[in-house]
Amino acid sequence: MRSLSLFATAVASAGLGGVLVFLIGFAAPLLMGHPLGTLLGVTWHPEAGQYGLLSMVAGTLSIALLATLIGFIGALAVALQFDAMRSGQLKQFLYRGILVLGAIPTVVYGLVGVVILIPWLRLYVVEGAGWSILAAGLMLSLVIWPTMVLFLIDSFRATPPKFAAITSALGGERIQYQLGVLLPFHRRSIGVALSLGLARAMGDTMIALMLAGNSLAMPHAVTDSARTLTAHIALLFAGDFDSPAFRSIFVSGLILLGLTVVLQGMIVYLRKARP
Amino acid sequence: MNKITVVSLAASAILFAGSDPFAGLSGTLRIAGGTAHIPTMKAVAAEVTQAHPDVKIAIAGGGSGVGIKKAGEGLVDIGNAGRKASDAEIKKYGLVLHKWAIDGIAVVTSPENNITALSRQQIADVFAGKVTDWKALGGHPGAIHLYTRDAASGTRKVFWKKVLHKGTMAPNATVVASNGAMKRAISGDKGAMGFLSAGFIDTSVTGVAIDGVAPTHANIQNGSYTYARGLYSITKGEAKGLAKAMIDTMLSTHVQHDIVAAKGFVPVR
Repeated sequence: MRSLSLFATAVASAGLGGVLVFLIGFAAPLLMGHPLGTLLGVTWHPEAGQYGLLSMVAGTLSIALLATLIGFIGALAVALQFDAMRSGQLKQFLYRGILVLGAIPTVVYGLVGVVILIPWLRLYVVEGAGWSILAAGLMLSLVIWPTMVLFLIDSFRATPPKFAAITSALGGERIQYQLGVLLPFHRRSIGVALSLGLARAMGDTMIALMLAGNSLAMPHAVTDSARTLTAHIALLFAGDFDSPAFRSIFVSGLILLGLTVVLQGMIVYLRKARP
Repeated sequence: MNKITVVSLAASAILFAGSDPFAGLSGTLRIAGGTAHIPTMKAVAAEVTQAHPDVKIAIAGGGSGVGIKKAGEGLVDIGNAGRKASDAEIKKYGLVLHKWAIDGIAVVTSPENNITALSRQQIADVFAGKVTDWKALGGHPGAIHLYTRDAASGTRKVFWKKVLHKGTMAPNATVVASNGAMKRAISGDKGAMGFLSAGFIDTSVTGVAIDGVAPTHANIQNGSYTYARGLYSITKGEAKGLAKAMIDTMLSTHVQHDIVAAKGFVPVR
């Protein structure tokens, strides 16, 4: 058992290392030929030799963080409601419903966004064409929500039943039990749920590609159009084959990997910190 | 003789009138790339596969850049492009270009917009981000929502060269990934301005007249609308087998007159 898990860890680390080596190898010519300042600039204008990826970094972070925030709050609320619900057919039905939501392909959410959310935003919320961080963030929160809520529900279900009984015996309300006992007890699981959601949100390509508008300008508000690093990779990969612009997709990949590591590291740190 | 055979025989008789490039062939033909090509090629593919059930034709989009790249790397049998492949691309991959239609590049707006004519300079100013309100163009006040295509788009490359004279494009434009997506986006957004293969224009979008010349079929055909480009199907080396049959079919009198023209493009023969 121990050797198996060691083996799995080795394979996973080797995989990650391989990806890193591959990315650096392909990004190297661009990293050597152009100062980092150009790559970390705001302007993407390959015809003029400017390969600034900062707008895309901003796009990725704003869409992923917005989606994770909304999705996480929704997931926590629903999981707590589930914890308070009596077991029965309704609960079963709802649980299965969430499973189904999680199994719907991302592109379907994207289409719903294009057909319903974008025109609605254009009419009521956004001064502009509707393709925005807000549109992508809202739809993406729906995409990542089932993963987080299912994980939280399952974790909460594994709470020793005596905890609730003791709280009741002390005269505690359900909400006092949830806030004072349940949430602190599952601090780790909540962190993992957050990690899972954030990882999916950072890695998403389809929703951002379909809904965020993919504009190259630096976004200044959630109602602005933006391009994520993943969408940038998808759009560029189609177009070119051997130019510096094409090579920049490997730099984009490196940045994406770096951002993910930093954000996940922060979650691990928060999880371990004493309350 | 069953009904299907009769229908397919009739279809092939109408389609090829004697010489059938697909006669005796079978297998799958893979096509990808330019999105302006798709409606025409799908219509042709439907006729071909109906007459030849052993032939399968898969048509995907991606953009002209994708068509050139995939054809060059042998991932598809035919790569479509709405622009000429560059000399570097032709040399690197040994590509052969087959032009089967001429297509206009139109500046399009929503039918709800009252602007139907602009000068080339006005359009260049709008796409450069210098003019941002419809009022400055004589329309109802309101922000202009700019739409553009991704780097793989041949339509974008030709538009940039011929209409914008290689001028700057505002970075805040919304990027869509195909002519179909462009049409859908423009038709639903009354503040929109974008550019589109002229063959895609119907009642859901307005083709704006540039310097007084509208992007109509007649104007593209007689050359007075000069913002035009060829639609190419590209093979790695000379076309062979199914790819050759498809290209011969695209250039046949029936397809050129009855399909290419009907889809809004100008036949080359």
